[in-house]
Amino acid sequence: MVLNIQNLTKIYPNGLKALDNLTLEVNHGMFGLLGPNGAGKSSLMRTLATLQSPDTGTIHFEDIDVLKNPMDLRKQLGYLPQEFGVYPAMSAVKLLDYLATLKGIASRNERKQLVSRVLDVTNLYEVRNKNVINYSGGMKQRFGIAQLLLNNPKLIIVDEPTAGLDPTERNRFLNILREIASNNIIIFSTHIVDDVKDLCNDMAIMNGGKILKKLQPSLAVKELEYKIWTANITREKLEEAEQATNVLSSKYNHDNSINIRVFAEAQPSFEFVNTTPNLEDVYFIALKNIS
Amino acid sequence: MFVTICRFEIKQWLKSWSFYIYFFAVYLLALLSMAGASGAFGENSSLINIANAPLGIYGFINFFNKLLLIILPAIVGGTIYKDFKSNFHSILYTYPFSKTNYLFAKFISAFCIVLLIALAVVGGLITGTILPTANPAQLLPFNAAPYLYTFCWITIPNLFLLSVVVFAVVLFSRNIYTGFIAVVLFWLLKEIAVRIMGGFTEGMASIIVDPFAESTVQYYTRYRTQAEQRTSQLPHEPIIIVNRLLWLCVALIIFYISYRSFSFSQSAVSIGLKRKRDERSVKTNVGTIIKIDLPDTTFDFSFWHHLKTSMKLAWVDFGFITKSNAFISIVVAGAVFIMALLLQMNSQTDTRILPVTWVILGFPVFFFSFLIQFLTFLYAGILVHRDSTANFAQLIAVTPVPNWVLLLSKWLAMVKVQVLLLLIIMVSGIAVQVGSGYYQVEIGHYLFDLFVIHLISFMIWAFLSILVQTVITNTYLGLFVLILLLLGISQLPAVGIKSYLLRFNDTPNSNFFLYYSDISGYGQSLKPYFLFKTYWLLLGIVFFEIATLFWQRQQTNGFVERLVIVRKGISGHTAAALLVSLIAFISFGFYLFRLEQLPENTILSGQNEQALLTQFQYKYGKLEQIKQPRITSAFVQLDIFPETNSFIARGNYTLINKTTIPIDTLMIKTGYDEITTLSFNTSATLVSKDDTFKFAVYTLQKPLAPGDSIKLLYTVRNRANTLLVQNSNVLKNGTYLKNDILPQVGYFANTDKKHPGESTAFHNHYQSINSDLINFEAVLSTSPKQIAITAGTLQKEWMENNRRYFHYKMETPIKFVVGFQSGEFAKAEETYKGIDLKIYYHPQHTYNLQQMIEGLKAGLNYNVANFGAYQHKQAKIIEFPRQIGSYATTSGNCIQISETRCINDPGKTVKGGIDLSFYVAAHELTHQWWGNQVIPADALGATMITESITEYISAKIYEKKYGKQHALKFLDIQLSRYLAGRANESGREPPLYLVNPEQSYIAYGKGSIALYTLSEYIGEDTLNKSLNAFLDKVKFQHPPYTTTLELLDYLKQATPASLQYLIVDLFEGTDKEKLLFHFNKMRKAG
Repeated sequence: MVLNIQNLTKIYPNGLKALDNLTLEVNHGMFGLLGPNGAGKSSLMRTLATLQSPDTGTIHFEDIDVLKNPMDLRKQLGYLPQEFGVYPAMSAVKLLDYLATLKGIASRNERKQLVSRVLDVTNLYEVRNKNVINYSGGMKQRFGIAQLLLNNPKLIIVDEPTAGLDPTERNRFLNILREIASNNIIIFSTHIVDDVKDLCNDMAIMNGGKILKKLQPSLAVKELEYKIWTANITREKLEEAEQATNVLSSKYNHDNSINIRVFAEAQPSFEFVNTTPNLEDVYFIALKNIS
Repeated sequence: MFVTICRFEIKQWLKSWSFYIYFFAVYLLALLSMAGASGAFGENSSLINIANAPLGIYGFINFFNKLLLIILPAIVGGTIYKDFKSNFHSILYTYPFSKTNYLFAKFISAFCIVLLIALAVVGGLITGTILPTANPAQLLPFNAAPYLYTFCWITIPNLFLLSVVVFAVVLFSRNIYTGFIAVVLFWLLKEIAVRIMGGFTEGMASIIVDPFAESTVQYYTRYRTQAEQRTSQLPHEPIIIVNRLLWLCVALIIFYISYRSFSFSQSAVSIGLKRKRDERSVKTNVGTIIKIDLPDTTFDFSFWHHLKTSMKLAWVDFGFITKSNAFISIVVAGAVFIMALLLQMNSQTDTRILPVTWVILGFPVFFFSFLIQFLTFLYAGILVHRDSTANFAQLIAVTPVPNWVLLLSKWLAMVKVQVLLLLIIMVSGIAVQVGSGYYQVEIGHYLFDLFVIHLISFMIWAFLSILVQTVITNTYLGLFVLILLLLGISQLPAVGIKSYLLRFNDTPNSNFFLYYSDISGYGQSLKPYFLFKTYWLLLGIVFFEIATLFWQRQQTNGFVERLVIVRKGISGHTAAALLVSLIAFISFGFYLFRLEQLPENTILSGQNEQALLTQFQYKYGKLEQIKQPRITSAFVQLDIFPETNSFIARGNYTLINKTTIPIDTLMIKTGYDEITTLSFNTSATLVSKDDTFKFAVYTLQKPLAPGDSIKLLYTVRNRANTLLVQNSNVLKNGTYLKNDILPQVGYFANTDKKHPGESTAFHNHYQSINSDLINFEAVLSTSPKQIAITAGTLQKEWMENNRRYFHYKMETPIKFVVGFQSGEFAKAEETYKGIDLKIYYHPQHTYNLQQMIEGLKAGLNYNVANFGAYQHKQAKIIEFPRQIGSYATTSGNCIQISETRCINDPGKTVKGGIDLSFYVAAHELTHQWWGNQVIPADALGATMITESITEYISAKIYEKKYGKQHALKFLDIQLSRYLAGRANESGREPPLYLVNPEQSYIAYGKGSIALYTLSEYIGEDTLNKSLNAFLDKVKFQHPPYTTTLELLDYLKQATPASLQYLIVDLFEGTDKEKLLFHFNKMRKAG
């Protein structure tokens, strides 16, 4: 099972290059697409979900030419957009039944069983008869998962799903995703490094409409072993440090000193101590184009 | 802060292209309307109308104000709604400005924009008057006053009121769509209120209550003649100011209430019939890992599943529309509206017709269909954009469901809404019927009319609405465009597009359902209707397929990208389907085009006919001077075949040369729609003929000497009906043919009426160019179930070859004006004073038989007592279908009467209304003396002798039966008929004694008042004696025929010298005030 994206380009009328000759191959499992806001993640996700046409390029999923036969992909596609609404005054059961019909499930009985099962696994069963429009953010996201499961999709596209969720909801949400990922492709975009850290066996870092780096999180982190250094400096020294070294990230400590993390083959200076690399370091290295 | 928000809002509008679309569309429409009315396109509907007369300007602006009502919610509602829609309000409401600032600024900026667009109307109208091609005769010099008056007194207050209503509704519902519904609802309530308050003619209540002041202006201008309209200003009555102030207060109160109750809280107010059961949810289980094991399901992507999906989705959409309170209130108001329409019917004449089914399916449905159409336009947009409005579109777009399934579901949902609305008509119609004690509910007729005839039409509109709303992504702009299309299509004939194939959803005689008859049903109209609707349905399918291409599934940036996607979409199945439906549409269109072009299907338009007649008169006019022999007896054998809509007439005329010179030239005109063959019992040669007017000129080999006679033999057949055109007047039931199917002798094309003083005026009587009194005999045959009737006494009736024969003969000579009728009639009869009174009626129409018999008897009593014996042995009333007309007439010993006059509510008379059936029977019988005994010359004033006198006598008969109060009420109705009639008069109003035949408002309205008034001054007896003396002198006369000059002599003799001024004021003059003065004085004295 493989999703193959070749030379995708999309330029908006205002001149913004949302996708810039993007090429990417995704294999089964959970694939994280990490990038800052405005990196083109949503454009890519929408394009994959057949909701937007690229100017050039091809997308193949297994033997489906997605851009030519979007309908064939839709039969196997689950999509959770970054933001969505629902019809007012309709309960989860009704909405899911509605969507299940659209997804091609003809038998009323099968729909009924399936709907109650997806409600069960997303833990919405108790609130199934309540209007979805009144759901909390986390419940609505789970409803989003419930609806995308309806056609037993092979390709699942989830666009920034954890934004705005509280920690428990986020956790629960990621668990469900992980659970589904066992025999599908899930492409999951986020700007939060932690989201991909434990879940994704494969990921890419995206910015400016381009894939900066495709990697396996554990390997990538391992590659940085002994190359990440940290130091506490005063606020006044920050610019100096940035000049002198590849500062990946910096944050305040309680005593108003600043903790910086630096990428370097060797210890930059005596204040720095070596530290365990993490995925965030990988991310920043990619973004800042340090090699 | 106020100024900042206000300026910001106005700037936003001025930057939006929809504002410019509204502005220029309205400007252009106003310009075109004014230009059209002022003859700038060369097409002058009526030369006399002044396009920019004050009342004309008011009319235009008032019309466009209604169009503005459609734009108004988009602007006034939009200004509030956009804050909710973009969720901007949650930020906005935290800003440091007060709600006073916010609300006032929002409202005033939006209202300014509305007024700006309203000014475009005024601008457009003014521009329309200064086009170089305008006809100066149809324009007055520019005068700002009427524009100012209408804008300040009508436009601003009306738009202000509605803006406030919309503003308040959208503010609390947070939904722009309820703003639209509020406008519709407001309009419906207004119509209901005005109707319940007594319509336009009476009742100060409706004048004050009308929130648009339409009835108010109409009330003060209704009797204005065209000449007065040209010069006089719009009314400045204090009532108008009272009305305006009243509604200004209402608007301010609504604004104040909504201002008080508005707060920057964030949830919309919903007025629910039931409380929502939603409860608060509390998280119980946190962070468990669940195994995802979904049951096996089978997927079905077949056509049938898609179709089933469409139906299912349609129910969801249908529920979405119908469960909303807005829709429910529209439905309730609509039902009340229908009932109000039915209950006020004919209130102005104080009669009421029974709510038979076609009455309900007539005008109420006609009005209600505009509502259905509007809701179709609106809901098409709401449904098409529903997914994106709810932000649900992406979830649907990624499902493997083809576009057509989604769009079909929208279309089906709309058709369901239409069906529901039509059901409302049916239910309220039946409620009105049963409520008024009428139990002959024709369910089948309801179902066919509403769900076959009307529904097809609405379905076709639904297709177009789906297309427009899909292409235009803004619901309210789409609605506006659809309304413009609707208006534009109705104007196509005015710009020369006459073919029905180019007028969307139009069909030949598209309003035929208004003329359904209990006797003959829909007649021939159904065939062309369904043919053309099939054609439009095919186009609807093409529209639908184009709409599926435009259906927005993907996010696009700009229209160009949409077009690219549309082009990509044309492939495989969609391309094939589109091609097939296009071919079907075009080939069917071509078939209809060929049909339309066939000579038997082309109908002369009024304009063409006039041109051809002028040509004819130029060519043959000289023949007018040639004397012709007169028809002295006519025999016809007429075989009517109702099953095949055909007839054949064989017969002959005896023509006698009554002049003093030999005649060698014969002119014969035969029926337009008939195929006639002629022969003479002497040799004659055809020298010239005109095929358009079926006119032929023969030369007799042996000239006809004075006093000699020849026989003209003819065979006449009808032209067959075609798919599109009804050529034959033979109906399946209720045929009514007139003697115009038979040949006429002489030059027919002189239509000028002469002054009664001219010597050439006396040769012909007012209803014939070629005969005086004739002997008449006829043998009619028809199908075995039907009865055939014509003038004369039945000599014999028999069956032959499974056909029913009737032989009629007139004992005494009659005018050559006869009718031939055939139908499945029931018969009521009674002998009264030696006269056989008979009524042949449609078996269902038994409602007025008694009153009609009473009318005949009363007519006999009064006329025999005052004007001598009745000349026939029988008086037969025969009903005819309403497609032919709604009149009643007299010929020979028959009275033909339209079915519309056989369904009067008999209960109404009891409650003090006018007994129309009684009155009509008495009136028509009176014509046996005044029209058939006294036969006036073919000159101006003839209808004073026939109609004014008859109407006066009818009033007297009425008075004898129902008392003076009722007779005066009856005269009041005649007075408003006169006043309204003269307001519509395009030429100059002549005095009564020179009345034109088509000026019935003078002959009937003024005539009856004038003679009745005279009778009260000089005494009924004196007047009748004088009339009787006149009758005695001229009855059954031969040429020269009598005129009003002779009648006036008798009236003058009967009037004392002190009252001679009455003759001048009532009969010889045209001063309305003097007539009113004498009438009112007489009324007070009585």
